[in-house]
Parts: sequence; C-alpha cells; structure tokens
Amino acid sequence: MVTGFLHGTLVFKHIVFKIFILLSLFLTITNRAYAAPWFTTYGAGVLSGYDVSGDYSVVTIQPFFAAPPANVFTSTLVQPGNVSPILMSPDHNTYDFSYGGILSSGDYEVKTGVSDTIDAFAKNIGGLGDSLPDYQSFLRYAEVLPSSCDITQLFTCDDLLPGKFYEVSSSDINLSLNTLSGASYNMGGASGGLFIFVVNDTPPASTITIQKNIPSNSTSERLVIITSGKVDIRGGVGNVNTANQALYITQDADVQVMFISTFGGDSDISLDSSSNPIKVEGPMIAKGKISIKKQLAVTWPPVFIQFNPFYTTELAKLDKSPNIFGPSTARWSYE
Amino acid sequence: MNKKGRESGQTLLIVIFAITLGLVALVGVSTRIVSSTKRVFIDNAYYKAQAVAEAGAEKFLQKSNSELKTLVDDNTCQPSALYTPTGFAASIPVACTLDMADGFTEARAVMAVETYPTSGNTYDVSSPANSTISINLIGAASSSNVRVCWQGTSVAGPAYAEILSFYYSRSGGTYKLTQQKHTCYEFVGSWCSSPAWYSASDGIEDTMASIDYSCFYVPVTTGPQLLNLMSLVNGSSYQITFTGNVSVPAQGYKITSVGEVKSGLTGGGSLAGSTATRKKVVVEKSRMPNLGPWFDFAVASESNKIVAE
Repeated sequence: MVTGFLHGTLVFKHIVFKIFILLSLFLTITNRAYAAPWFTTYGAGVLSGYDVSGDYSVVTIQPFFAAPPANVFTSTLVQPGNVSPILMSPDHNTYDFSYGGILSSGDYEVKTGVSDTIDAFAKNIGGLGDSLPDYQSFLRYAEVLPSSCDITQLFTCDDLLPGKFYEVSSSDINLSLNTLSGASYNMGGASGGLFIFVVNDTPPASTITIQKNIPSNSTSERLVIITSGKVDIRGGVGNVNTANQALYITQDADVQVMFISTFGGDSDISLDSSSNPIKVEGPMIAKGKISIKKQLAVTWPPVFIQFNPFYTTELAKLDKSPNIFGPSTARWSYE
Repeated sequence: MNKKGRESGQTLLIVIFAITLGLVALVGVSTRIVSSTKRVFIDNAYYKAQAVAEAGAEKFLQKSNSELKTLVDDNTCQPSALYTPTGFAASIPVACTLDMADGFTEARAVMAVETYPTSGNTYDVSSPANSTISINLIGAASSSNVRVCWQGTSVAGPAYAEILSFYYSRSGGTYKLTQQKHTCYEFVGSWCSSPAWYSASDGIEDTMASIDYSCFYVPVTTGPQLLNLMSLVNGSSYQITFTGNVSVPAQGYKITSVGEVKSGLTGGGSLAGSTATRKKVVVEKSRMPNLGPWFDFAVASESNKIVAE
C-alpha cells in the first residue's frame, strides 16, 4: 500500500513536472516569439475582395501575447476593442477601432490566438461594390517629368510638384531608389505634400524592387508609386535595431511609401523573408494577391503595416476632373 | 337630246363630286403630312436642345474644382442671373454659354454653377452595398457635431445592416483616422437585426433613432477633413446633419445647363414662326474623388488574398 502510495506520488510529480514543462514551452512560444509568417496592422485594418468558396480571403497569425510590452500587439486584427490601451472615439463614449480589423468578401483564417469568430469588422460580405481603377486610368493624367530632374535621382528633385502625377519607367524608379540608397527622400523643395509616380513600361511592366529603407525627410511629405507590375520588398529592408516592442509602435516606418499595384495576379506585392522585422506604411493596395513571407523569432510582428491617414486625406483633395482614382460622383437629372 | 343632255349632266355631277372628294382627300392628307413634318421638326428640336444641354454640362464637368469655385465665388454663372421665367436673361457672360459651331448656330446652352447642398444643414445621400461614399468636412465648424442617420436600403443580402465610418481629421501636422463599426438599432426596421456573427463588444449598436433611421454622432474635432461611410452587405441611405444650425460644407458643384434651339433665326432654324425649344439638365459633381474603400485600410486587395505564408 505504501509502495503504491509512493508510486502514485511519483507519477503525480511526474505529471506536474510535464505540465510545468509544457506550460513553460507554451509561454515561451506565445510570450516571446512565434515562428511563422505573420503580420499585423496599426491605425487601420485589412480589406480583401477575394471571395472563393472553401478558400480564405485573409490568412494571418495572431499570437496571444498576454504580458506587456508585447501585449500591445494582442490580436489587433480581430479584437481592436480589447487591446490595451483601449482607444476611445472623440466623444469618449464609444470604442475607436483604429487599431484595425479585417473586412473580407469571403472567410478569413487566423491560425492561432483568439477566436476568429469575433471580428472587428465583418467577413463573408460578398463582392465589393467598387473597383480599383485600372492602370490606364492612372496613366492617362500623368505628366512628363521636368527635364531638370535626373531620372536616377528622382526622389531628390526640387522641381517636382506635389499633387501631380509623373510618368516614369520602372527602371527610373529602381535607379533612383539605388541612388537614394536608404537616405531620406526630399522632393519639391520645402513644399511637402504627395509626390505621385506612375510607372509606364512597355508591357509587361518590370518589378519595382525595394532593397533599402525609404524614409521621408518630413512628416508632411510622402511618396506614392503606382505600377501595373509587381512590387517586391526584399528581405534586407527593415530595421535591425528595433529597441523594444513599445517603441516599435511609435517609431517611424522603414518604408514610407504608398504602393498601388494593378498587376492583378499572384503576389502583386510581396514582402520577402529575412532576419529583419519591417514596418511599412499603408495604404498598401493591390488588385491581386499580397504575399507576406516574413518569419521571425521575435517578440514583435515580423511585418507591421502602419496606416498613415496623410495619404487618404491628401488624395481626397486632388483637383482633377475627371478624377484619376475614380469618377467624381456625377448625378444627372433631366427636366 | 333631252335624254342625252340629262346623262351628260349626271356625268358632270359625278365628275365634280369625284373631283371634290379627291380634293378633300388631298387637303386632308396634305394637312396630315404638314402636321407630321412639323412634329418631326419639333421632336428634332427637342433632341437638339437636350443634346446641346448635355454638351454644356459636359463642358463644365471638364473644369477643375478651382475653376468652378472661381465661377461660384464671383457669381459669374449664378442661376438667378442667367435664367428668367420665360427663357434666358438679356445679357449672359460668355463664360456661361456654349455656342455651337457653324451649321448648328440655332442651338446654344447656358450653364449655371453653384455649390450643393444649396441651403440648410442636412445632406441626403445613398450608396450601394459594400461601397463607400465621402462627405467633405473641410470648412465644418469644429464646435459642431455631424449627426449621421442611416438605414439599409435593400435586403439583397442577409437581413441586417452595418456600416463602417472613417473620420479623418488633422491637427497641425498630425493626421488622424477614427473608425467605427455601426449596426442599426434592432427595433428601427423589421428586417434590421444584429447579424449572427456580430458581437456587441466589438461594435456600436446605434441606440438613437430618427423615424426609420439609426443615428450616431461624429464629434467634429480640430481640423475636420473627411468622413467616409461604407455600407456593408446591403445598400444604405444617409441623412447627414450638422448640428447647431451649421450649414453643410460644400460637397460639390451643381451644374445646371439649359439647351435652347431657336427657330427662324437668320442663317439657321427650320421652324419659322414657332417658339424656342429648351431642355434642362442638372448634374451634381462631387468635389472629391471617389476613392473607394481601399484607401481606408492599411492593406487592401481588390480581388485576391492577403496571406501570411
């Protein structure tokens, strides 16, 4: 009987030890790193118009980080109202959902973490009512570059004007990015505003390849690149000196550019895998697939897409008629 | 002779009767032909008037917002200065007219432009399912609130209504987006209930109502810029009201174009003696581009997946 009791005690200890080991392992995984590609957004959410039965519109992983400081990333895509600190709307009475949320024509999959049945926005909403304008509509109003601008140094040309659409080749963009080599862009003198480039290659357009960080010199100046080809953000782009998760929320994005790809195929925009976490600005818009391949054993998201309202606010002020991004609403009536 | 003479007289009467009958028929047919011809000409004049009115509206639609604003600000093409109850004013600025080329000189259009909404503090607008509309807030008083009342307009999808609101503001060099999801108050409409997968903890159930509309407020902070509203699954109609008797900021330009085809003019016209034919076309042109929903999200794909793989 005593032997039996001792044996039972040993078995109990063994089980407790196993549970402890498993719990430690679980905490190690969930509270420190998640070894799989995943991404999160901040400031706005994710929208996919993909609607194929039996397939997912959006796939990501949302590890559940319970302890600070990593908990700032807790399920921001699926439960923005539950993150800490909770943002409130300007009247302080309702939640502000500015952390983000998924809106998808079909279903979405969040591979782990909290239940994906609780969504910030909605899923299975069906086809979107709007269409992204095709490439030609962007190109139609683009202007020729000023002759004074060196096509290998576009992003430091003082003679560019904000709010204009400039016609360039993918080679011009790639050359100018190489020349910039990670330094800040600074166009139009001190004017600030949106500087918009539309790639016009002989079809098919070549890929825009981002190999270095693209910071802006000012919070009031941003770069927009529109292409009918692909955009490939290489693995070396990003920040190797990320201090900690809390700072990661507020620090500047590594790529302060808005990309629009109207390629309409597989991997219109891709973020390659590497050892660097990367923070890019959104909106990041594609007609086709956006593929995020970055997998890191770090305690912050390998890919962090920070929405910058500057782009949308400034685009809404564009004085073009008819407008490039879509016809201005024109309601006709006859009497 | 008497018998022969009577027969000749009868023949003459028959001939006269036949001729009279023929003439009557001829006059009738002629009148009908003239009438039909005239109607064709009138129809033609209406079509011409409508065509020239559309051409006039198109001419103004091609103008940039700043050009239209200049015309509004200096009252060059103000409707009350151009139109009278019986036609056009005696003197019309060249900037407000469209004269047709040689060969069509009997037709012209007179175009007026003003901002809309033309008065009041309420603005009605609607959008189809899964689409976004934009409300311009630049110029709105920061002390006011924007009251958004909305209701689903169709039940093509599931029997519920939801919208997303995206409020953009700017304070100095800081740009901000505040976004919310709203679901309509359950008792407002018989078909308007919370969706099966809706969780009250992550959305706002609008508790205010105005007749058949669910309502919520968007407090206007410093530097209001833009309010985008996206209706989910079903279409929605909106009543946007600026509280405190604040006028709705101009949402766009209302272009009125009246086409006129004048008859009997020297060198043109085909209906001598008839009155001028006029047709009116009204176009409301939003001052903002229709960006669509893409620009309200950090990452968006129009028709494919967004995948971590």
